Amino acid sequence: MKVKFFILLFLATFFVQCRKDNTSLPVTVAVPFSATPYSINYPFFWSKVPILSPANNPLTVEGIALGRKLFYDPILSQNNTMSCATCHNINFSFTDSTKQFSSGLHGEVGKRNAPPIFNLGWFTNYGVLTHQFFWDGGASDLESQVFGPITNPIEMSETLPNVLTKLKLKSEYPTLFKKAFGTDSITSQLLAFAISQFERTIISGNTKFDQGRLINFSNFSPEEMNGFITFTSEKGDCWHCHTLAPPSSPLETDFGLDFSFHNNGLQKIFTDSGLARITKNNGDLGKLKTPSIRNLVFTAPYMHDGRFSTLEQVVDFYDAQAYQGSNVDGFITKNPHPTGLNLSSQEKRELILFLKTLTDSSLIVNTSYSKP
Amino acid sequence: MRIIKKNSQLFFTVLFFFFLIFFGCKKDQTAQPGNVSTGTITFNISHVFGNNPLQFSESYLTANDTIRIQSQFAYYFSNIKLTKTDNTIYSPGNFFLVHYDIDSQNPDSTTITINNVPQGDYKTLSFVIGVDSLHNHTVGQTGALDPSMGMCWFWNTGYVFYRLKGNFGATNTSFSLDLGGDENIMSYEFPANFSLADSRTINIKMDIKELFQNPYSYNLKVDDKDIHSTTSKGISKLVQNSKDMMSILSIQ
Repeated sequence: MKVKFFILLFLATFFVQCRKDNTSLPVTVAVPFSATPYSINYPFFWSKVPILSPANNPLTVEGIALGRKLFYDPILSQNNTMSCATCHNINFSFTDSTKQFSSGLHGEVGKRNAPPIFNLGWFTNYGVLTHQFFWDGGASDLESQVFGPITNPIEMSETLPNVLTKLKLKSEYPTLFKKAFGTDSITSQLLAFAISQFERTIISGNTKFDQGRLINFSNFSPEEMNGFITFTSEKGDCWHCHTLAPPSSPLETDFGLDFSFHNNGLQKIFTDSGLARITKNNGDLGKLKTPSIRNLVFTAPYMHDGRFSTLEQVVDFYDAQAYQGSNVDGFITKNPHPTGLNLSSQEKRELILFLKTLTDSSLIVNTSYSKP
Repeated sequence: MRIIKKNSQLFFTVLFFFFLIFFGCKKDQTAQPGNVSTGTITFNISHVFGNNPLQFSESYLTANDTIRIQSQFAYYFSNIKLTKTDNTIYSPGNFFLVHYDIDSQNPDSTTITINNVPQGDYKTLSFVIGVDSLHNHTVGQTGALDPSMGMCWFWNTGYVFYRLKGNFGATNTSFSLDLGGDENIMSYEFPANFSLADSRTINIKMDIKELFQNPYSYNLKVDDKDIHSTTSKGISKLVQNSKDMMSILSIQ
């Protein structure tokens, strides 16, 4: 604080003291603005792959606090009744309760299940200039994603100029934007910056699984261990898309997803064209983002269209119900019908017990993420 | 502790002001670099439909229809590059949004000015209608690229490069064409022989009729009349037609 005070004082003097004698214009040395840098407290090994914020939107304490307030504020919706948190509810790992589809402001429902919000900062692993957000990759980065739900007529149904006008008129916001970004001129960019900052701090990795990684999984029951082996073996073959390192590996980056898109044989007829909508490549028809294998206990129902309400249904689907069309991923078609994965009922039960070790109960009670 | 802290703050504050008085201010007597050797270029872009200036109230004829451009007409003008006879290139990097809606003045022309252009002899002008791929994959931007401008796609991140809204035919069927997508950027390059001293005006014509003809006769009754994503088939026809949309009328 002290250092900051002097720096500010020093810089302020440029403004106060110096003027060119030959013109009436003040010297245009802007006071460099500085908010308090925020360091992420990574769980377990995750610090080995730190989150990369965009250069123009670094994490700051003030920016995150503002983003959190905005995330929970229904002011972002047309009739001030819906916030981001309406469909991304912390109690359900930031999904929309057990709803298959979320309802918008005017009562319409969408056609995709609201995805969870955690570990989004690592989605830059999809690569620069590509498809990081939405089930079909329709938003290329977090800062761009923010505007979709706010302006979608079947979601929050608001226009950006209206949102900005409302924020400017609400007494606390100009001050909070000033603290976070050094300006009380509220823009769409800064709105997206703040919400993105908050979302990047939502990190979930505190699970029995992650704790087990440090102690050779001595905390696992025999059934959970068997499930883990099925998960990472060629038999269950879950891990190629829901990336977790096998039991014997040293500390790894266990994201539980592969930062990629796959056609998992869910749709015989493409009611959702998936990634092909963005790439215009027929080979991408039906490809959707691999969702995280973490926190499944909270995120039901499952799949992009929420068609399965239980993990048992999901495991049965992958075991022997996936379509085998030409466009379907090789990891699905390599175990053709009628046998499929040929999992026994005990193997299925163990697999589900293992999946439940990837539950981070501390996420849903984390007071850094809850409504401020 | 608090008091000591306050005292030390006071001490340093006083010290700082002393420093300021002694070292803080100097007259800046050096000439500003830049105002000796640069000039201003004004692009005067006239919007026409065939031989007629664009007016929201007018009807225009294409080979297939009578069309009226109403309510919205907008585009990004960017990537301006001016090449000198010695092959040095001046590229200001600005994005300009030209935007008219139903409440706007007549959309028949617009003026875009760039300052600080190095003086000298030029031979080529190039620019694009659209937003280059470097800026087209994130919309959390400011200025002309501010998403509040209403020229963004949020469900397939990117900018609408060119927007034309209106109606056509005897029944006033509405159409709405939003062109965008990296592969659909509209690039133009023209010989432009001029010498820049203080200022120049480059008169440019945008003929919207060209979008509907050559090589494809674009028929709103048959081809897409509503384009709101890069996947529409009509978009590539319109973009190929756009190659003749811009021309330089004169340089003054």
